[in-house]
Amino acid sequence: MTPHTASPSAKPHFWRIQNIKIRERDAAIEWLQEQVNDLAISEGQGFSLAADSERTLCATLTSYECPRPTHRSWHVDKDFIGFTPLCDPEDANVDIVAVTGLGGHALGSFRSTDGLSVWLRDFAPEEIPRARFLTYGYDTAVVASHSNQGVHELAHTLLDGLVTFRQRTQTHRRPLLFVCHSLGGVVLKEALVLSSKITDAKQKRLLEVMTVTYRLIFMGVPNLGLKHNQLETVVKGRRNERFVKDLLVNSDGEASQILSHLTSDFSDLDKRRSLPFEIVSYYETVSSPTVVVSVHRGNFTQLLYNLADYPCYRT
Amino acid sequence: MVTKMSAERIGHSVRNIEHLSSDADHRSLVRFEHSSDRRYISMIEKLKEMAAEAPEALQSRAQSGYFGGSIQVSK
Repeated sequence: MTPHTASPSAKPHFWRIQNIKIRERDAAIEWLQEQVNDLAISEGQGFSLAADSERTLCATLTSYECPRPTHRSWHVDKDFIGFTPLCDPEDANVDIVAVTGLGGHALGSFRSTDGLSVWLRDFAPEEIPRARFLTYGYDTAVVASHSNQGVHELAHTLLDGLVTFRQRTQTHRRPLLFVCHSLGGVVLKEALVLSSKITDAKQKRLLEVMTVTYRLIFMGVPNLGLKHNQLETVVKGRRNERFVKDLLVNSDGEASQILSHLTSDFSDLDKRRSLPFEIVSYYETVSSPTVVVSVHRGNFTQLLYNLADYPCYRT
Repeated sequence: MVTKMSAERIGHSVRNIEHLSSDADHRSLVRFEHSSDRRYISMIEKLKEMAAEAPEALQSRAQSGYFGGSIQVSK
């Protein structure tokens, strides 16, 4: 394989390999190491391998080319939809879950400039050795399509997926910490509110997500939504109108109904809790073109709108 | 960019929030170059603290049995 250092503009991709059987672990590690041999990685290994069920492992890999697994049953993708484990310490006592913004990428959104490393996988796990790091990816087709999915449905999918993942790895009672970027924070707030409203004892597992969640890190979460009156026009008839309606600030500068309900529901939830949420929230101070939502069209990511041009709600 | 106000309005009266600025643009907020990156250190130290205290905090709360949800969770 030719080293790719000659072309600084070309960035490697992140790949996910699923359906690796537990007994194939050694073969998988050997294969993964071969794949990253030519990468000039400064930190971390350039790959990860962690259990995603009692019988299977899931790998992630940094590579310029689409990897060709030695086992036919290994399944390669680069969309990272759903939950992907990035490490799996035996003595883990907490799950740290990264939630990217809508249209973001579960790993790519967290990468370094050279595209080779991702802090969630390559340097954070050794600082917090007893944490399992997971990252959540959205189905961007949901954002782009005519589907009638809004924030509520996205939150429900996240909640359900998290419960399923933790059940499959026998970790459903483990404390949860979330790191949310951009609109991922809005979806997570809705998921926690949803979780708290579960009244059916049969769905106890969904409620458990809220009860074992204590602390959150929010990075640039637009709690009040996006302001762009023309956005609806841009999107009308072509894109997911429902989704846009949920997040758009109206012409009077007021947050959408769903977002104002969400801020008060989240407050109410916090008030009811015997132990309030502890939140660290970072806000950006550098103004620059800010992609909040991007939509996949074919193989390319089309930038649909941009928060720098359409400033958020202001009074 | 997401305004400071929008980032801060997580809930009307959520009790325990610490607001911090980050000299990055919206996208770069979650991108760090290496493990000595100043912005990374700020965030990872918060995360480390949170991770260390999470299991204990939840355990003591579990004794009360009530978490703020609509049903009680049996132990």
